[in-house]
Amino acid sequence: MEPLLHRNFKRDRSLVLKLAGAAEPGSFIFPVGTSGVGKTVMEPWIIRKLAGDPERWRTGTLPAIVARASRAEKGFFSSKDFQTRLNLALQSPDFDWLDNSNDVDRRALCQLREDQVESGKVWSHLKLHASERELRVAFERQSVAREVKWVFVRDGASICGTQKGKDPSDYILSCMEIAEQTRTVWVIFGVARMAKLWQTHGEVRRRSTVIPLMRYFDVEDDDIAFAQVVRTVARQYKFSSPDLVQNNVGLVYATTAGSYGQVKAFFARAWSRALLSGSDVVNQNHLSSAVYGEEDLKTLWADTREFDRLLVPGDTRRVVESSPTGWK
Amino acid sequence: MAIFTPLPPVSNRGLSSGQVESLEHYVARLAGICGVRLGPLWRAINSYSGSDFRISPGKGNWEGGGGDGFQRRLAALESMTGVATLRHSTFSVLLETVSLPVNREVARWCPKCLQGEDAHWQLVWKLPLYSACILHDVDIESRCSLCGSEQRAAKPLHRQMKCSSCGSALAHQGVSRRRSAVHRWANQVQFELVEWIATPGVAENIPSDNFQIFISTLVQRDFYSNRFPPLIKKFLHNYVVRSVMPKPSLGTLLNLAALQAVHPLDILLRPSEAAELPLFDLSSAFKWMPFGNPHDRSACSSAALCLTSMLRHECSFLPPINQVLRQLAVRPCTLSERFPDVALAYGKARRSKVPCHMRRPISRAFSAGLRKVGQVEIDPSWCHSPPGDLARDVSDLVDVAFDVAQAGVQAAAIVLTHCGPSESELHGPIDEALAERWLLGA
Repeated sequence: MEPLLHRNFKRDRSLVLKLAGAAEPGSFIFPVGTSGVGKTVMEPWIIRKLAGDPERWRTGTLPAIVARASRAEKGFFSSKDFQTRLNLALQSPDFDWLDNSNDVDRRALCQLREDQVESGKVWSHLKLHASERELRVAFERQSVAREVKWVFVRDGASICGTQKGKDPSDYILSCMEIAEQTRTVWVIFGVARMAKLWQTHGEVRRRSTVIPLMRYFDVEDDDIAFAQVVRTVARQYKFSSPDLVQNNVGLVYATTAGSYGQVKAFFARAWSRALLSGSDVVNQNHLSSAVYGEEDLKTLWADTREFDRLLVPGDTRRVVESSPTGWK
Repeated sequence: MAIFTPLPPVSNRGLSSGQVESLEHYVARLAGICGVRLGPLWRAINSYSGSDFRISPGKGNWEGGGGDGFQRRLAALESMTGVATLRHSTFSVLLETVSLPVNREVARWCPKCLQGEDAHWQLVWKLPLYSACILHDVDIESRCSLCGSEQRAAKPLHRQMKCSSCGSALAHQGVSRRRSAVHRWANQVQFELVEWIATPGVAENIPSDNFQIFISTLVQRDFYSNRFPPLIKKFLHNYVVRSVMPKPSLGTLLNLAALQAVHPLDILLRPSEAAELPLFDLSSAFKWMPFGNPHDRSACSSAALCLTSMLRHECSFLPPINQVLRQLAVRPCTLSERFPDVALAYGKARRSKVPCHMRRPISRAFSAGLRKVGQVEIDPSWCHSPPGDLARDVSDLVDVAFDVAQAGVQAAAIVLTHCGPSESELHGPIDEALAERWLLGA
């Protein structure tokens, strides 16, 4: 289903595309947003726009690859697992970012699927070297040979889930070396928890562009846009009274923190409550029971505030005054 | 047509030049880029090509010959990488027309070319008659300059620039020496032949009957004029008497080109015009053909004589038969076909005389012996009793026992007396008797 192209989503998506397209090789772009803001939805569109028509790629090249950072080793991030995933993204990419798109020729998509299967067969004969260093070297060489320009990383916050005694900033430094070596732009999507990745090292910060993917705030202009989003999402469902949605915009905001994905999930929960109670319309009770529990709400708003803090500029005067040789 | 390929689209280096990268090196480089070992990559290519037989690293044929299997592997590799120019890193365009006795097991290189940054192993080095790099005017080598051990072809990328025995670098300044004009010409035309092969859009498969057109025109004109050197006459005789036209070896092609004063490519591409040209004046300095042929029966007979001689002189240790045959430029399969009894007798004698643990020292002593004996005038008596000083030198050089070194020198002396004339002999006045002996077998 085509995502709802609401105001903030469209604006942020274009911004990420523009910055990723113009970024210097070896730099990082961090699109950061709260859960449900549309990171997962916008990523395939951006890759498609950057990579262009697959039929125009030089045979065997791959303009963009996608890898997921995951907590694969006993619930912690493992850099070796990440290197393996990066290599897999080069050897047998699944091209899921081409799915559900109208701007890609079906024949090209079928051909890519066939090529992917063929590549998988070949690589089943080839065992990659085991050590992390060798995996990294293989990735660096192959990505240059495949002319990769953009590396998209999903769930960047997982990189911060490190084992005791390990610093996530070390991993991002290693990624920075790879990005420089391979002359690629890394676009790392994630929630505000991944701020550690660029905040710890000035070197990484200098090469990074952080793009906040904006939720809707309860301020003038934004709240009107949010109400519009709520009404559009609610159009899919039937309600007991025509004003029910309009009257509950405040409730929806409080339980979704102004995020489109959360709004969708909220109305889906309300609808399922209605079905469970044997009704075919959503009423006030169903809406109220679809609100998260108290702990869930606390977590939601804590994450939201963590994101909001990223938007507040630093107090230069305080920082400069505390510096012994500061420029006053 | 594929959009995504299983292997990265790595281009072959040196296209459109005589220094084009050999496919064997390309595959090793590809393995390095993909971070996989050479053996599994070979098997993956083989499996992709639909071949059901296994090839082991080092025995793979990447430059040409080997029939259908080679063409299938080449097509598979082009399809797996999406690089359509890989055939220009092989001799595939010549396969229909010329028989190329490319040595697949031993590496050959120009030590000075290897000194360059991003050096790659060149296709032209695979040609057995390419004796000196035309860019640096140094000898093409196949042995380590320090320990003298022969280098295996198809090594993994990270070991290609080092000796597999002592680990020293194979790149160095090289040995430059005065060469006869004929050899300089031969090296030049072979380099140009490879340059033609390496140029996409220019090199195309040569029709197999082009060479036949050249020969039939030549025979109609001059066969009975008695002006052909014996080796060529023997080759033409098969055509005249039996109407059999085998594929010429590179040696034969070079000899014919020299005889006609044309480029070998003229013979292959413009056969009628090349055959119409007047014969080279045989009363001038160019009197006989210096480029031998491993399929040549005379060379094979000479090798059989050499092996028999080694058995007769009762060498205490016998060197490996392949090493001896390589020195004599004869293929082991040719010897086995023509003189199976000699090959069997030699193998049996070697098995009884040489225990397993002595095989490597003997091979090294023989290699070093060949180099030492080759530098001096050979005395025929050395075939019975090798000189002690040479044996001591060999013993010190490759760190083997004195009696092993003595046996190595003795075997080397026997082999070198059965070899054709050396390059140094070619510089002096041409000895017709020597030429005849070499061409027709002693």
